[in-house]
Amino acid sequence: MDLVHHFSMAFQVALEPLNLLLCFIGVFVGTLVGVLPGLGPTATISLLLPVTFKLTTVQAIIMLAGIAYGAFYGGSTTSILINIPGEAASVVTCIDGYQMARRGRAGPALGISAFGSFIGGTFALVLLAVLAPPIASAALNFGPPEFFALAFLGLTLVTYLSSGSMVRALMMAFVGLLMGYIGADIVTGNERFTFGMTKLIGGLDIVPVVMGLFGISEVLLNIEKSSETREVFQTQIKELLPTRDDWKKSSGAITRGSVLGFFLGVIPGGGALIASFASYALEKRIARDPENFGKGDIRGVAGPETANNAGAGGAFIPLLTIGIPCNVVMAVLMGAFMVHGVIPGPRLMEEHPQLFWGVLGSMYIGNVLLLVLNLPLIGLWVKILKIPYSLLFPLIFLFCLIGAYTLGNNTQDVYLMIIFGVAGYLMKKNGYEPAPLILALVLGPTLENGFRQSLILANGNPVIFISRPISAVFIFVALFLLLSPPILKRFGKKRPGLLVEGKEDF
Amino acid sequence: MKYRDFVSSLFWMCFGTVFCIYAWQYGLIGGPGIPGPGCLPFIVGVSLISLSLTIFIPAILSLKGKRQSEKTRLFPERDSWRKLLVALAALLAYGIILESCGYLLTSFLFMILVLRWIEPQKWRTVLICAVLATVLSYSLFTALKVELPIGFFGI
Repeated sequence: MDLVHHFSMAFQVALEPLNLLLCFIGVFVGTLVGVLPGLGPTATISLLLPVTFKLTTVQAIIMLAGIAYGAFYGGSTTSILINIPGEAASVVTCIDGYQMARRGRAGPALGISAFGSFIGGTFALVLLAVLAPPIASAALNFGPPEFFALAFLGLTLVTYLSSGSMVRALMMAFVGLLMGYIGADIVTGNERFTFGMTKLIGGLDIVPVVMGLFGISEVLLNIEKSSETREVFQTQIKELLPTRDDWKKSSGAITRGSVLGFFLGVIPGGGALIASFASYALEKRIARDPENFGKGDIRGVAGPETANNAGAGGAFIPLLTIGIPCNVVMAVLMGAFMVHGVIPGPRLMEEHPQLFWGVLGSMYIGNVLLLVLNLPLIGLWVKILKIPYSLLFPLIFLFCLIGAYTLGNNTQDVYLMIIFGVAGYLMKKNGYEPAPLILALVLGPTLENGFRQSLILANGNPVIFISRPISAVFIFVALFLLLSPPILKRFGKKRPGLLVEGKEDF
Repeated sequence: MKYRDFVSSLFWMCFGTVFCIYAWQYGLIGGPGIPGPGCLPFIVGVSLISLSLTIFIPAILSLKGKRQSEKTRLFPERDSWRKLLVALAALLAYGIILESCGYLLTSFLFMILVLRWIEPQKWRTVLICAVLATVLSYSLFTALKVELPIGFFGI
């Protein structure tokens, strides 16, 4: 009965004309940045944040969330047509999608990825609606030790699952934590690490940092490469609808992709990127004819594209029910909630039911809109792909600049963004990924407050962290993950990290 | 890569050290068994320094006895330096003149600078794109009731 009531509320909010329009704008912009290489959902959400200041929280989140899940629909288009992933979670789609396009089957490849995305996204939303209430009510009983343990586990997973060196990922997490300590100390009220700058007393604002690390630095990296021309695959895109045979072949991949993607999305540090890789690996492993993969096998498109959308949906669970963002996009979205004065967490559903269910309903409608946007309108996106990067990057710069300025109507945020733009450029050049830094910056206060409040509660006895079952489990899992790479190395095995250059970590 | 590892790990060590020094002053211990304001920052700072050392030491060992010429170059092309510097100068200039010159003028000048001197376009393209980008973004933001700075020209 509850579920029916919630669903009716969800659609009541989501179908309000203005909300519907904002949802459309969100998924439209999402598809756009998904199509455009060089601008990802993370930077886009942060630079459009100021635009939402005059909107209500529900409206703002509906639009910004649309960008978050819409980007994955667009990402597959570029992968299939020009062999360049529009965003990182579509990297694997390049392998078989581009081969399909070269064999004149671009239409079914685009079709199956749009349908797969829709099925995966819808599946994730249904599970989100079913699982979120029990998780949130369980999380209501969490005290400081549990929050400390959860933040600790989250950060460990982020570094464990990050691409590239785990030592460097850990270092970035530490840098992010240190930056998170800037500002007034919540327990004692002391000012820390402000170096005399009044701007820093309230803490380091995550939005300009993200714009710098993910927006400006990406452009700087791109413009120093010689201007290469992108070639859109010159072929008539016909028969977008996959044949009965295609459906038969990919139905298994879509089912497995939905389930796998959703659960990988819920894990901190997981999300769409890992979901798509895992799905591809799984499909290849269980296929009777694995040699077909890489030569334009439709399962290699259907599985990952379903999984990354299911993952993008699953990633909303930890944020909306516990208040822990499990990837960078969710971290930025958490920033958006806070700007509007709402703290996402176990109480969200109780205190703002309109917000929670309204956003959920809009995500469902958004998925339908995306299907419409991506199938009949595919020609439009292909045209946009033809805009040269040399005309595009000045626009990205301009939007970042004005986005940073309008955050607080001062130029300090602009300079902060430029500094982090340069920092991000240097970090990426030297093999340091910015994603763990951002998550640590966001989770830092949770981690520290949990740690100190727990010890105050327990009169300084650290046993409190392992005497409570939930926090004990989290801490043991985290310690195991932290210590396992050196042990695995001794046996000549690698941790299952992803050794792929992601343009953006989702 | 080794030379870059040397420089980057050195930087992170300094970064960690600065935080450790300040954290020490804030007080590591708040009471019996209770951490003070500087406790976690100090632990994290020390961890950062120790991890940096695992990159720093192998890098410095392999650098020993090698000539300068073997250092890897940071930029793939000679032209990159110029493009990056122009981009940075343009970004900084935007921040400096935005409040005095207003959104329209600043954005227009910025677009011209970036379009013309990073990946040089024809003047015609530059002007058309600059005008379009400025006017369209202005109308978009004003339609959304975002306040944009107005300069001394009143625009």
